[in-house]
Parts: sequence; C-alpha cells; structure tokens
Amino acid sequence: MKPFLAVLALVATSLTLVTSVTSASADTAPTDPDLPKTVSADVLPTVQINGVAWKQVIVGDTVYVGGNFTSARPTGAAAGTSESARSHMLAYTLSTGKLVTGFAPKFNGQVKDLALSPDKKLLYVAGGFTQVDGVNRYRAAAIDLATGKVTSFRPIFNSTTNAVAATSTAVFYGGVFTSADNTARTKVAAVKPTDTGTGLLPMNPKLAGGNVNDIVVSSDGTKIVIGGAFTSVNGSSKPGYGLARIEVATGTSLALPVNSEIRNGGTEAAILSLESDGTSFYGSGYNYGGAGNIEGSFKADWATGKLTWLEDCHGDTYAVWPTADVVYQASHKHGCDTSGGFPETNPRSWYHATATTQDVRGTNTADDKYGYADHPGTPRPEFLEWYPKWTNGTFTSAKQSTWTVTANGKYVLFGGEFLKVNGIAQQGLVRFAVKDIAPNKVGPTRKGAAWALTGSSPSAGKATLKWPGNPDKDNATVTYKLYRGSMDSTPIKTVKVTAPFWKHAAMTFTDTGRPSRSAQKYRIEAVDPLGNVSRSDWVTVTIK
Amino acid sequence: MLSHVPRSRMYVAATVVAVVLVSVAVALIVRDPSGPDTAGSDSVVAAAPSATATPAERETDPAADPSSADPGQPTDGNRAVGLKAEATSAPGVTARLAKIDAVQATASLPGEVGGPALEITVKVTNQTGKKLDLALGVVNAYYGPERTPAVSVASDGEVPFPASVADGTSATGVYVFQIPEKARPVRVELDLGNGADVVVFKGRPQR
Repeated sequence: MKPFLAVLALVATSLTLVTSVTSASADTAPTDPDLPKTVSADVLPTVQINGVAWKQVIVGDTVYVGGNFTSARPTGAAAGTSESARSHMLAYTLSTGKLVTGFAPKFNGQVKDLALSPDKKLLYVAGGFTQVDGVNRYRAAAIDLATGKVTSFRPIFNSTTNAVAATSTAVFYGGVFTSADNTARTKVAAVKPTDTGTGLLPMNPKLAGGNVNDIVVSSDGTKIVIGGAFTSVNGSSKPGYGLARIEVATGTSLALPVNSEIRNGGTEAAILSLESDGTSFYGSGYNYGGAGNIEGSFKADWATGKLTWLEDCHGDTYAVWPTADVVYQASHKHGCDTSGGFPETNPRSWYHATATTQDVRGTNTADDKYGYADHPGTPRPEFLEWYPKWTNGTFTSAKQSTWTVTANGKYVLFGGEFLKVNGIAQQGLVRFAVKDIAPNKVGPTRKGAAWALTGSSPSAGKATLKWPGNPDKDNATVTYKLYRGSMDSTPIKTVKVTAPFWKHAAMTFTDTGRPSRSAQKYRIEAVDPLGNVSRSDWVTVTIK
Repeated sequence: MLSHVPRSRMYVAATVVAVVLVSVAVALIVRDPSGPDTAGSDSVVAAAPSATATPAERETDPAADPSSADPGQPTDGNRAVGLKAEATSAPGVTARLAKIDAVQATASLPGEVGGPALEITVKVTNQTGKKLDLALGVVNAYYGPERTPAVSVASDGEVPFPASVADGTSATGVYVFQIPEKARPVRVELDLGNGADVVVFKGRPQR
C-alpha cells in the first residue's frame, strides 16, 4: 500500500489546487486497473419474503430461493400487502426481481440448501421438511424445474439435512442425520439420482463430534469436501476437524493440507459454508468459544487441497461465493485489520456483505490487540471497496442481515432476513448488478447537515474549514471540492482521495486573503467517479 | 476418533450392536404374530420411518389423548406414548423425556430460527447388560395436527448424547426446538440407530 496522509492540513491561496491521495482499494471504477470491479451498491428491486432465505440458485434468468418463509410480496410493498403464499421456496426472475407466479412447491418444513442437477432440469433440496406437495419426502427431494412439482426422488434421512450437492451419478447429502435409506450413515451420505428409498450408495465415511453443514463436489465427481462442526472423519482429526476431503467411490479420507491451518470444530466453532468453482473450493466459518480459529473465509485448491488464501476478519462468515475475479462474503464482519481490511471500532460496526479479490494480494498479520486466533504469514486477498449498509431483521432472533450469497457474471444476490439495504426497505432478498447494467446512483454517504463542515477564523484574513471524510459505498475514490460564496465558482480546493472508507479521514483547509470582518460562506462537495454528488450545508465564517 | 478406540472396546461395541439387532429381530417376530397393527395408522406421516421394519409410525388408539398415557407405560415399537411416559426402543433400552422446559430460544447459526421453544431433556437408560452406543442418536420434534417439523436451535442449549452409556446407567441429551406457544400436540421422536425402534412421545407440554 502506498502511504496515505490521515489528516490533510493544507494551506493554500485561493488558487485551485488538486491534491491526490491514493491507497489500494477497488470498487465499480477502480483507479488501480489491476484490481477487479465489484458490482455496484445500488439496491435493485427484488421480491421480498416474510422470513429468512438460506440459499439461492441461479438457473438462466430464474433464481430459486429456499428458506423459512410463508409469503412473498413485491419490492416496495409493505409487509402484509400484495402477499403471495409460498411454502419455504419461491422463484423470481433474475433480470427483473419479480416473483415467478407459477412456481410454488409446498414444503412443510424449512428448506436449508439447494443444488442444481448437472442437466439443470432438477433442483435437489435439503432441509427439515418431511412432506413436499403433500407427499412424504424425508428431508430430501427434487423439484422438476419444468413443472415446479416434486419428483419421485425420495431418499430417506432420519433427521435434518443441511446440505446437498449433485453430479449425474450421485446426490450427496450432509446434515444432522445418522441414517440414510434406513442404513447407518454418520452425517453424510450419497444416493443415486434415481433413489426412491433403496438407492443408497456405498460411500460411508465415519464422522464424530458434530454435524455436516455443507458439501462441495469436485468437477469430475470423484471427490467431495465436507465442512461442519465434526471433529474427526474416518478416525482422523487432521484432516477431519471441521473439514474433510473424501473419495466418493470408497468413502476414504484424502489429503487436505488446508485443514492444518483452517481448524473449526466442536460445539462452538464450525465450517458453515462451502462453494466450488471447479478448480478451487471456498469456505467460511465461525468460532465462538475458541475451539476453532477462523471466522472469515478461505480459498483452497481442489488438486492439492492446499490453502490459497485466508480472509481473517472477525465476525462469523455465513456464506461465500466466488465469481471470476471477486469473492463475496455474507457475514457480520466487525474487524479485518489482520487481513488488511477495516479495523474494529468502538462501538462496534458490522458489515454484512464484503468483497475480496480472487487472487493473493498480501499476507495476514498477527492479532496483538484482541486475543483472537490469528494466522500470521498466511496469504490473504485484498478487500474491495464495496460496503452496502444493512438493517438487521428479527425473524430468526439472531439479529442478522445476510445469510447467503450467490452470483453469476452480472448479478450478486444476497439472501437472509435483512429489513433494509442502504436504508431502502427490502426484506430478505436483494440483487446487485455489475456497473454496465446498474443505475450507479450510490454516491458519498453524508449529505446536508449530516456532513458537518465547520469553519473558524484563526487570525486576520483567514478561514479554516474542516470536514469529515465522506466515503462512498462502492467507490474508493472520492473527490472533495471546497466552494466559497457560490457553487458557480471554481472550487477553492479540490482533493482527490482514493482509499478504503476507513481512511477517508477528516480534512482541513485554510482559506487566506479574506477581508477582515467579512462574512464568508463555504460548502464542501464530494463526487464519486460516476458523478454522484453529495454536498454539505453552507457554513458562514466571520473573518478576523 | 475411531482410531483411538482400543480394539477390545470396538469388539464389545460390535457385539452389542449384533446382540441388539438379533434381539430386535426376535422382538419383531414375537411381538405381533397377527401382523402389523394397522388400527389408527396414519397415511400422513411426518416422523421418519423406523430403521427396522415399519415404514410408518403407528398409534394404538388415536382417539385417546396421548398425553394422558400412564407415566411409565412402555411403548411397543413405533407407537406414540405420552410426553411423560417411558418408551422402549430396544430390549433393555428405555427412554423418557426427563424434562421439558418452555424457553425463549435465541438463534445464532445458519438454519436456526429462535423464538418460543421447548428444551427437551431425553434420558436413555441402558439395561442391556452391555455398553450401549449412542453416537447415532437423533431427536426430532414436530408440532400441530399437520406434524410440522420443528426447527432445531442447537446453538442455544443443545447437549448431544454422549457417545455411549454404560450398562445399568442412564445418559441424557438436551435438544432445543422452536415450537409456537399454542401449537398442539407436540411430538418428540427419538432414533437411537443401530436397529433400535424409533420411539415417539406425543402430548401437550405445559408452557
């Protein structure tokens, strides 16, 4: 990172000066062309739900949502108005955010995970339900996307399933269960896609110590990686502590060097989510009681099982999603300083959606302040300047906003139980889009009286103006322009700052050569790279 | 941690499993020579099917209030017993709901939904003469006439069964389920695995 002046104390004449301060960061219009672009922070209208979304899957221009909810309503509609009944699953159109009216399978219990069949015709479902469309389906089912109806696929699990993944020859389930198709299986099992209760596959790894929370399958279908709270797999806890890589044909454990660094297991730590892009797999976790060591996310290599990078923020990370060059996280991150990200604050601030690079951009440092588990010396990605603001929901009682994230090349979709995004009422589901198709109307956050420009006259002929930084939710670069007298005049000072939001520090400027006893009025303006403008109120200074 | 279990213990455990399986098989044969009891059977079944023989939960008398079942009255196979009753999941293995506390559960992990909840202590007593493996034990709950599956709030108080329970002793597990306050009845389902019958407790908890 290039050096940055935390507080600018600039003295100048009334000539216009442009000062530029740059620090590594990125967003929808990164000044560093080497950094990838995020989606914009614009809240795109999206169907809303009256509960919580646990998982979304994009299929073409349709998004399938599973969770715990009984009703959907259009964007902008208040709760209780324009409601459409749904039973823990719905679909909406990716490009419009509108509810798909004809798709309403009925689950009698919540849906936790979804997986698309390789031919994209079926949606495999995991959760706590025991019936779908009025027929018995013991925590596993498939929905025919052409008809919206439940298929004959009916493996039998004796308790909750948390996760599902599919190939053309096997459907993998993980969860709380201890039997599949009436046969003992500890928390993970594979069944045939044709399973109607007797199609269990031989794979039978032995897990102890906790449940499976998520599963990803290798692109060739021969291996799976499981994540959860378990503390051993096939008798081994390294690998096997919260993470394991398993050969599908035999159920045996394979080498997984990443599990030597990423260690979450037991009753107060776990791997919570896993995703795959074919060459790498990604995970996230929580660590409450010290039995684990990561609350952020990580990337690992399918071929070697080795760690690629570790994002070491504090604040549980519920889900992670890799796009081609950006990785998005759903979390309640509150401190990322050991990974080069925003620092912990007092009072604490939470960020429920974050974005990092796909590639390694630095090295994690030791935590010498808070006593968290740390990972000094391990590779880390770079945080990108994309920080939508979330209003926590109340549905689950967990006081959270986002629980899941999904994306394709154009859209990033967050799901959860949030009530608002960037102050706009939008419950449970929201879309964000890449710059090319986004409104790009999100500007520097503070406006009017909320952006406190202050001025005083320290000595004859001078006025000293001070203003807080005014960062933007999706651009690191903000140009600050100080006006005297009129907005039609040329700014008396222009400062261009490119920095993460927490480095947009307060700035001061001293205007000189003003007539004594005159009243001078000043206004500060912040402009993002897309032309969005935020201004303070006018402030009058009586010159000494 | 299977690799850390001494061979002798694994042998004992395997023997216990084998004995239990044989016992259950014998019990199934002798229990009901006239065939499955279909009286009162439900076509709409929310509980998971037993891992043994019967695919559906059976009740002896759906007209009777299950909560009025005599405490201590053992169950037979998959029949639902009252919330205060004792159930037999395998020969020598009995279970009861030692405690049901109405609590306000707070969720904290993906998949959990908090709110009015029941914290249910399940007590398993082993009188098989051998150590009993509990590693495969699971507890599910359902509520209301539709047998809606209840969501677990494990992070707010769940204490899973220990891996095993010695002969002549009892072990408990604590399970927390979000269940609306007015939902009646509540069903608590215990599956100890290893060929044991799924047992179901059913009734109206005091809240």
